[in-house]
Amino acid sequence: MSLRIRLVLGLLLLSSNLDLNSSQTIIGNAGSTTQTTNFPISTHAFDIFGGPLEMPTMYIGAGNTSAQQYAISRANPVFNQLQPLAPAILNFNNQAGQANPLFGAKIDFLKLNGDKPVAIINGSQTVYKYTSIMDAPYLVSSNQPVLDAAGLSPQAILNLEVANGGLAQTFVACTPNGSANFGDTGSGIALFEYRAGNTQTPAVYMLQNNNQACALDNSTPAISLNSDHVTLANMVDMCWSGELNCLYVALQATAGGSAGDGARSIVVGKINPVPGQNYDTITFQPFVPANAITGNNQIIGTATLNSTVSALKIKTMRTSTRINYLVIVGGNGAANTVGNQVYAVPLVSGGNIANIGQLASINQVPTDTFVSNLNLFASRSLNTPAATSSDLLTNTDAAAQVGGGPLPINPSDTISDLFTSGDSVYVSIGTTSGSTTGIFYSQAIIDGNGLIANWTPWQRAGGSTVPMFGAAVNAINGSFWYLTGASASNVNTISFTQWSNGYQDGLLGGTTSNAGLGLVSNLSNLFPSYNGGLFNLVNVPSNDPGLNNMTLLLATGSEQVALINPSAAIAGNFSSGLVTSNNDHYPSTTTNSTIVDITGNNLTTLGPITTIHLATNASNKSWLFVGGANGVAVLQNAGSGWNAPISSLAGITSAFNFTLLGNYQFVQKIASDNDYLYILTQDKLDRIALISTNFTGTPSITTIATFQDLVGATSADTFYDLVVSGSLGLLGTSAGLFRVSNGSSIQNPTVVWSTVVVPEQITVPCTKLIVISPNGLDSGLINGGNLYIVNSYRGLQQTTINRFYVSNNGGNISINPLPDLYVKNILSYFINFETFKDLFFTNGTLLINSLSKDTIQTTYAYIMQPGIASGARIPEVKRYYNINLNDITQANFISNILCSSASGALLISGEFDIRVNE
Amino acid sequence: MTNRFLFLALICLYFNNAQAIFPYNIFRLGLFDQTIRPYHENQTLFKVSFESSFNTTGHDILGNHVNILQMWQPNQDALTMLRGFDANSQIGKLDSNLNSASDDGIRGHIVPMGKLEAWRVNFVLKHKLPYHLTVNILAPLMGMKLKNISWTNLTKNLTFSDQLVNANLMQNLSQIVYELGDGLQMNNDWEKIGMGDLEFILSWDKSFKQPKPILKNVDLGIYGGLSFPTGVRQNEDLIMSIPFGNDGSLGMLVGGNIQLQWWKHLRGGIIVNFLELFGTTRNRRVKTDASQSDLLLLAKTEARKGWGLTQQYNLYLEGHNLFENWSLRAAYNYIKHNNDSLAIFNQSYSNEIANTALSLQEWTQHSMNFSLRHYGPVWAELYYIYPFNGKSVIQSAFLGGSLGINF
Repeated sequence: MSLRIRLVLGLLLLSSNLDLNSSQTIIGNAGSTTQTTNFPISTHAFDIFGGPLEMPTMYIGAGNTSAQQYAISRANPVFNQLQPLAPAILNFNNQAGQANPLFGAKIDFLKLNGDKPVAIINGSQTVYKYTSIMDAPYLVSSNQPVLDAAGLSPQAILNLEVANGGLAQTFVACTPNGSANFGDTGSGIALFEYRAGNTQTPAVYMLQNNNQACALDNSTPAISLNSDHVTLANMVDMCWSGELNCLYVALQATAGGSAGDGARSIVVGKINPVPGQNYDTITFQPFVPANAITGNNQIIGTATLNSTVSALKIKTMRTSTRINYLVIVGGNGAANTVGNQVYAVPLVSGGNIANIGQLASINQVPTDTFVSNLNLFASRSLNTPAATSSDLLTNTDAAAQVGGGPLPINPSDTISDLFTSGDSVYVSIGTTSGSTTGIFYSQAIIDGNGLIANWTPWQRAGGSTVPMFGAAVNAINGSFWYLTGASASNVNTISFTQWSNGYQDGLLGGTTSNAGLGLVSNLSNLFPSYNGGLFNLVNVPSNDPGLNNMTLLLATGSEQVALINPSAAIAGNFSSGLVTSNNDHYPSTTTNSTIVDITGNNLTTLGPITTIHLATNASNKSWLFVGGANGVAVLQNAGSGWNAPISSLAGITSAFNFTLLGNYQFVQKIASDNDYLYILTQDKLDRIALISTNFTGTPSITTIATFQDLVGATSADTFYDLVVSGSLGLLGTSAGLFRVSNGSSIQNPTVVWSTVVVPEQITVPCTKLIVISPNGLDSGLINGGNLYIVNSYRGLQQTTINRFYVSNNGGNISINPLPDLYVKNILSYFINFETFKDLFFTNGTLLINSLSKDTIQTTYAYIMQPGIASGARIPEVKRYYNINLNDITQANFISNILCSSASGALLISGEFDIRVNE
Repeated sequence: MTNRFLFLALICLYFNNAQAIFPYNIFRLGLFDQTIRPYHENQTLFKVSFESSFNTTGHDILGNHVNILQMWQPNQDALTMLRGFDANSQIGKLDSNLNSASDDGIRGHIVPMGKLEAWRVNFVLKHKLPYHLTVNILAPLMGMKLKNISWTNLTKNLTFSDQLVNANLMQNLSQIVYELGDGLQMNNDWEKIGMGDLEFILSWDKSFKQPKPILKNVDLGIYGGLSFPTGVRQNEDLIMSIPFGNDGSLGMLVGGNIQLQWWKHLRGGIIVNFLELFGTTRNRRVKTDASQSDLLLLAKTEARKGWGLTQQYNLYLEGHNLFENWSLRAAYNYIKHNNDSLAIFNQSYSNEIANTALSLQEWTQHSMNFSLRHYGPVWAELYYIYPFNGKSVIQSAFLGGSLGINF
């Protein structure tokens, strides 16, 4: 049976048996369900496209010589098995039945050409490339070993990079013959190219540049600023951009000590044919002109004598507005001082072909190109390279600082992996000097020109906090892959997350032996589906002003509320920390409490509770507000809030209880910012000062919006959603999107509202407002955040997504649409689903939409195909992955899609309670 | 030439899936029954018949017995009722006001119940003409009453959406339907009496005696004519308003029969009728969303209704002249009505969606008819119609009688 048929059968098997297990450990040769290999994994590569079956797959290389046929293998997600790719005998160099040099080899470097591995064995300088990975793999070796820039055998090989495509250009960084120092004369990047054979001509994998590495050393002009020598460290990373057709080389370069000396950490390599010869070479170009480098803060260069600029890892990314960026781990400083810094800088991707790939000037508006004569949007590029110092971002610019600042690790630590997907940048962290491990990500915030303006703070992703020595995201189905083990030298486990109920996963799905102890099971007991399940589940990140070094999940259901501290659960045991109350009072808790569940007469009065909000005023007093069909209640003690921030559920005492607040019905949203609480019902927006006197007796309520305050709205209109950020308020209504006008403030006695023009608003009702902000909270929106709005109207089966950039220029808050367009000069929506959707979620990589059961349509949650960007055509929008869990499809509704800040697990809540991706 | 005409007529009938009558077995074709002719040497037969319904029930699309207001859907959907309208319309705003609540199969659903009573009087005149021709005139008079209309709300009170829908829609549904539905009265019983459609039919029939031991005679008949839209039409603002006839459409009836007589007293035959109606244009209620149910349609717009072909097949066995001109007949009657179609003169709505209405889909009915007849100078008949199956149709049992005179 061919591999493809087996894979297809496996897919069918998987789809028919999507039992509710959570993260899966790939079964390998370790004879264990918790460990994959009996050998250390030294290197890995992830095929994000997944070959012809579109099944993203992790490839690994063995870290010692005991792995035999597993020396190179791949983790097959269909069979949940490690599949060896290095049999003892195979077709080698076009001859069948040959001994496989990779069998039992220790692999130092592994990269992919499409789905075909390219590897270098420890101690060898030959490059091996698979030409087929079907049942009987085919392997070729390079016609020459790696040779240094002088054509001699190098002393050390430092890194490997491979381009996709038919030529499989392979780049090998090497030190010179007789020297272990990269930078010494003779250092360089060897280039190999593969040419497939035919019946007459065998396939060849040939070293280019006249059998010499392409010189890249301390004297390369593209690195230094003043034609002087720099000092390069033995630290080379490379990244091939197929889109820009160039190689980025990341270096650690130290400037000389003479006047005018400086250094650059990135060079751009372009492959060119050598005139008159039958081989190619790499031409190294400056990433940025030398005269544009000033000072010692421009991330990729330094003009300060004896200073070091480091690029430890690099990757390219393309935003959803179709602008290319280079993401760099490092910055201005030695490697051990910048290991926790990640930056993004723009790249030239259009215009003069000679400039493509260079650092782009930040002082330009992207250039849109259109299909000739049709004015249909085709692409967008930055065409002007940086030329002067003012064209460069610095390491304090918000646009450059991925995560808004350093990662939560020490500068001397190193991240194990860097990868990008969509608008987000991910890093994995293995061994560090602290305790922070796992995957973190940051999402780009894009301005009205389509350029990155800001980044969200580092947040966890992947659902697990174990040390991760390599990771990747499968943007097709939202699963994360990671390699873990006891240490960097003993990585032996490959796992991937999946959508499930987390059964016995040691995380939210219970302990590894008892699923009943998990959050999933506990919520199922507390919020049974016959009572409607979960009507809402809200994540409160640790930087919320009410929290300190903890995160919260807030769950609501029928006449019931639960506060969950995911980090308090030990090894997935949420049951031991469960405390309940049935008299509206907060129960007695300890720092180990995991779930606080509250019912009582006042909560019963509210009926179905659908909105919940933790509000903290400037005096550091916090209250918890809940709202539903029949009113609002507040968790308070004699009107007062508790002292904020809290670091565990024990931060609230049992003196606090829920009391009713005001006289409300059908509460759509509760929000707060600064010293005010905002309650949005279907027909009005109220403001209440966050002071204790308002929560003891009759509150002082100011109605700051009714339909009469909104131009174009009528009494028949409905308010749906609210965002408050500083003086700005945004109202999503059935009459469209409204904002607090400039010159007014949501905190003013009288608030002036104005309409926000939504480009190509084919669907008027604005039902959901989604904030992507620099602090991860709604409150941060005006400090340069993105606003996604969901315009949906079931009556005509319409849903569109529009995006805006919100910025505050001295109190003048502008809300500018992102440059999403289809036709020249006509701004438009980002996505038009051409059908109705209830919910939308994005983390920069995944775009998830969902629909609750409606007539004959069952409930679903779809992940849209990766790479949706401005101008996406309908066929692209309509491709999706169905999170096809029976619990979801058979439920009546999905109430929310969110990411838990505690672990980065993706959660879907609804009648079925929660399902997780962890 | 004649053959060509017949061929064209058949083609026309075959391809024109137009319509016919309301799916209620009070409407039947061939009520003039050309096997009944003026007695002997008399030229004219005039008879009056009266029939009254009882045990009225509906049959849904699967043939199950249901309340008459459930024959198209077991319950009506007040949520999907609001779909298909512009978001800025009053209806769209109400849908928005419900947070675009999803229809989970229960929320917004209401079960209608009602009781239908009907009677019918037929005035039939048959007059012989030369060449075995007979002219037939039918003038029906009808009365119907839909009473005890009630609606049971199925919506739970569990979720936010449930309570929102109950508060903002279901608690005041009748008023909302009336106001947004351009006068649709979902709670109002109705009663009406009036003329049905007049039919003028010309028939030809002839007997062919058979010199055989068993088969003694063969009667053949063919006929054709027109149905004139004199009947009370459907009131679009009433629930399940039933037109007294073909709802304003001119119809063309054709048919034929063959009757065999065995021995002296046994007859059997088949009567085949086809009714083709010409489409009419007027304001009608139309679906604006494919998931809507047929009784709660808020949109009323100018639409042309093309009617499906109605076919009736009647098989009978008769004990003829068993005693003093008295005969007993048992007949099986089958009517099938093909799909109707709507063409909307309003670009706000979709023809495709409008034509998903179950009330436009094919329906069938089966019944047994038993009659005791007296042939003679005085015509008399007692009959009982027993419906026993059907699809998307209202069926009543009917007990009726006729009295006529030949002259």
